[in-house]
Amino acid sequence: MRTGFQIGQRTVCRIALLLLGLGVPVLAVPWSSQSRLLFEPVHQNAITRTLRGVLPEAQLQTLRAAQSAADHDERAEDAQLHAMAGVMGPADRPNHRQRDFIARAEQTLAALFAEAGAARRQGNPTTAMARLGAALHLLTDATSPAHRCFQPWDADAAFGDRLAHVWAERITPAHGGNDGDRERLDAAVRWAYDLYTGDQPLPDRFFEPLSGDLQIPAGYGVQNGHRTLAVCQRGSP
Amino acid sequence: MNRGRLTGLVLLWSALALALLASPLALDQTRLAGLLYFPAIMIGVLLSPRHGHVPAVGPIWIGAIVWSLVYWSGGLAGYVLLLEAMLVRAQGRRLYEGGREAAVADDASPRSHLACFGELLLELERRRRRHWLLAAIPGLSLDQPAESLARQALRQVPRHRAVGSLLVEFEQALVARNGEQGASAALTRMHAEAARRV
Repeated sequence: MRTGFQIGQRTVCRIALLLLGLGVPVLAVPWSSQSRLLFEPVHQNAITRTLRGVLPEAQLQTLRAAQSAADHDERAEDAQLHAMAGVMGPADRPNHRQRDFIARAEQTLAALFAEAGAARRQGNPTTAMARLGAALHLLTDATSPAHRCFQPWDADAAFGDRLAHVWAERITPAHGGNDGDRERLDAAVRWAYDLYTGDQPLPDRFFEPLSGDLQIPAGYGVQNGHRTLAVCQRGSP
Repeated sequence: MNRGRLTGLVLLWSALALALLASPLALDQTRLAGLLYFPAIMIGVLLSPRHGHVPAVGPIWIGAIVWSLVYWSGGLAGYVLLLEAMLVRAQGRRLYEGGREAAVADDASPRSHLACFGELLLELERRRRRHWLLAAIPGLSLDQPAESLARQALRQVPRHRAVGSLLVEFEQALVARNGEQGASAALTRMHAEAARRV
């Protein structure tokens, strides 16, 4: 006798097939794009928000694509590409060579802006945008609450730490929230573009050498230094 | 509860929720979606390779699917249980209405207790069967007198949640009317009468 409390074999098979049908295609999608369910493509949206109307759509598209490309390399030894200090194993944790990574980020930015400017002068906007995109990724990552001031990036971090990192970066911060994270994000995009066009001179240092805090010029209307983030207090006098 | 229908509804609502989240409306990028689907993000992080700043696409979808199913299963099961509890409670309240004092008196005959319980069960089961998500009590025929219905329920499905809950309501009314001892004796007589072949 069939009652309402039983699930027929056919129903179970249908559920299994549905889950299988949903599961196979999503498992086949590679780890590459930042745009995924429950996560906003924060870098790309900042670029669109700030540079739409300034750059042609094709160049904006190249800039946006460069953000996903930059996230292909998330190894600890290349953490400077994301304005973080990589932790290479347990022995590295007490002193994670933050200053090395700040210096490497400075060199990377100088090289990327030089390459972008050269490509621009040579009339190669695709290469120029790809290089600017990589530089822009580094600068905008430096405004992330989970990266700011070259926080340690440990591939073997505990689950809670990884979850906190992911959660902090899930969506674009609200206006004025968390010490102006959103304003700094947009200012970093504008500044990067101005550096690329030559409207702003390349700075001697992008980051405060001790804390690693991004030093956005005063004209962009944001404050440098962080009032509450302990990791940014290292360079404070 | 009707588990077949409940399963269908859970699958349907989960699919709708996921379709809405993944739609161009970008509802998944709202703060509310993040809070509601926080467990999905946890699953995504747990299943993702360790070297990423954001969970991989596959794990986050797995998390979202699993959490949607858990969320709607829990929500709908909770709704059905609450609904059933409210239906039982409504029948229980009828025991305190005027004119039923005699039926729940400890000196009333076991047959009148059975008849009273059967009347409540009949109405409860009618209402349960009207609801799409509630399954009929298995094997219980409503085309019989109330006393006979009560006998059948207490003999065949005494552990069914609806029967058991209604019995608790009935017992509480007996206790309120006759005290612990009187109620216990009346219930024992009622069960013995139900078990007796007629």
